[in-house]
Amino acid sequence: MRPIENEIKGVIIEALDLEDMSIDDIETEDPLFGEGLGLDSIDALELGLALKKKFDIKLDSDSEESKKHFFSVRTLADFIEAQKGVA
Amino acid sequence: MTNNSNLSFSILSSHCWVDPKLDGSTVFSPDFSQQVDFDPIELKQIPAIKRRRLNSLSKMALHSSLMCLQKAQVEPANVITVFASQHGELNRTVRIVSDMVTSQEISPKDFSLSVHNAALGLYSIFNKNKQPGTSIAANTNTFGYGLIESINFLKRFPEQKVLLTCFDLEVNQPFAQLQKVLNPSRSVSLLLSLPMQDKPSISFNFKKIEGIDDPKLPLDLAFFDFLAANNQQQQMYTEDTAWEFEKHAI
Repeated sequence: MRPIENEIKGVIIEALDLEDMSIDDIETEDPLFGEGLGLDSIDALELGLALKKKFDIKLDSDSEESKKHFFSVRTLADFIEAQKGVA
Repeated sequence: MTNNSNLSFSILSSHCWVDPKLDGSTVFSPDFSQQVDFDPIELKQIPAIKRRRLNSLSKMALHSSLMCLQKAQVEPANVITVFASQHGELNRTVRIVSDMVTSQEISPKDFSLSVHNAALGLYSIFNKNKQPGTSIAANTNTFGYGLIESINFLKRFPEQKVLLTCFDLEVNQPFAQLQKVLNPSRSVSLLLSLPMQDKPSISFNFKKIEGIDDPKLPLDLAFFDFLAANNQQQQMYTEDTAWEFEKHAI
C-alpha cells in the first residue's frame, strides 16, 4: 500500500461526507463509481475539485482518459504520481 | 383586507425540532418545551450514502417530516408535500458567491443543491414520493402562506393528506446583520387533512396591518406554541400581517 493511496481515501471520505466510513472500508482496486463504492457524477466533480486542491494537479474534466484515472483509488494514485513526476 | 373564507384544517400529527441552544424560557408557554424536540439530529431512517447529500437545513426538514409521519403511521411516499422556508439555502448560496469573489472553484455539490426546492427534491427522491409538491417562501409570512398552499392542495385532492414542513437555518453573516430578529434554526412539520368530524380542527384568517413591533417568535414557532398551549384562540403577528387562529373541539 502506497501512502498516497491512503491519502486519496482520506480525501474521498472528507470531500464526499462519507461519515460512516473509514480508510479500511475503501478497497484500493475496487471501482469508485457505479457498483463499487456507489459514487455518482456529482461525487466525481466534487472529488476532482478536492484532489486538485490537495495534490495541485490538473484535470481534464471531459476526457475518456479522466474516466480511466477515476476508476479506482489505485488508478488515481498512478495518475497523481505520474503528474507529480514520482518514479 | 380580511380573508375569512373557510380556511380550516385538522392536524393528524406534528413534530417540532428546534436548535438546542435556543433559550426560549421567556417567550414560550410552559408546555412548549415539553413538546419540542431539542435532540441532535441523527436521521438514521436515511442510509448514510444518501444522508451525506444533506446539509443541516435539509437534515432538519427531513427529520421533522419523517418524525411527524411516523407518529401518524403514514408512509412518506403517500403524502402531498409543501416545504416552506423563508431563507432556504441562503447560507450555501453565500458560500458559493464568496468562493466566486475570491476566485475559488465552486463546490459542485453546493451548486447542485443551492436551489430553494433542494430539500423537497431530496425528500421526494429518498422516499420515492411522486405526489405533487410545492416549495414556498413568503418572507416572515412563510408559514402562513405554506398553510394556505396546503389547504389549496386539500381542496383539490380532498382524500389526500398534506405534509407541511416549515424550516429555516439561523441566518449567517453577512445577512445576519440585516435581520430585524435573528431566529433560531428550527423545523416544524404538520400532517394536515381537511377538517375531520372525529378530530379537532383549526380555522384561521389573516389581514394586512401596519405599525407592528418586531415579533419575538417566527410564525411557525408561534403556531406550535399555540398548539401546545391551552388557549382556544390566538392572534399572531408578522411585520405586516395579523394571523388569527382558533381551535375547534370535536
